Amino acid sequence: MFKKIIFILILGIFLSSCGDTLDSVKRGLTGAKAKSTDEFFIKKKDPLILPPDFENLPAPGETVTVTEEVSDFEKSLEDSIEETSTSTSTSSTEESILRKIKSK
Amino acid sequence: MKKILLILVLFLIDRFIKIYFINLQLSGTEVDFYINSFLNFYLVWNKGIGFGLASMETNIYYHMLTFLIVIINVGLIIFLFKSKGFYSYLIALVIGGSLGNMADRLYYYAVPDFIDFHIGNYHWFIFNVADIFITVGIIGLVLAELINTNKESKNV
Repeated sequence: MFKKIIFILILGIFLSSCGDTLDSVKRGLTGAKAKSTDEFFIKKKDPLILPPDFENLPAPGETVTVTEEVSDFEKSLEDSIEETSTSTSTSSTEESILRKIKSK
Repeated sequence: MKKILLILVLFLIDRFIKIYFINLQLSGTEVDFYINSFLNFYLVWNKGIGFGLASMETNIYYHMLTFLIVIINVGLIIFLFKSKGFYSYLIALVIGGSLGNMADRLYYYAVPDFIDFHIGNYHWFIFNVADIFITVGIIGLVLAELINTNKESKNV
């Protein structure tokens, strides 16, 4: 009798096809669905890091002498602007306009 | 004839419900529905047998398992024609469900399960309609066996 019952039960296990064990156990233990939506997802704060030029920053109360470094490119650009401004001949119409502006 | 009709009806019910859920998933709706505090519908694919046993990725084992299930089904159908009375209807119930699962194994290479019964956070294995038919049939067969043995022992 028991042999027959065990045979029927094994038959049932073979023919049925109930869910993935691992998934079911995982869901059972964690109590969570495999795919949960991110509706309550909150963006994490970025970690606090020092700025890259922190060492070079002035200490409080310290007087800072700012020296502007002008690159070669800037110099050449300025020179070229000056040259163009001097080289361009002022036309008569321009002169007349300038005179009118000055007179006002 | 009635037994064959029963098998056909059970098979069609199972097919109809499975195809409905699969089509839902294919249309982009994630099958993950909350019905009540005991029941969810959550679609998973099972490549193995009952209770997620023997589910493996290797194709050769899958085909061997499917072949074994086909043989069991053929054996059950032969047994169905030899058996009589209420017992034969229980076998028909098992065959009806089993053919449904077998069709999925042959067509999709996995069986879709979607009925997620749970009490609180304790989930039972996710099953399908065919599994219900098989389980009812198996429980009936076990009970019939127990009752028969009791009757025989009383007669002796």
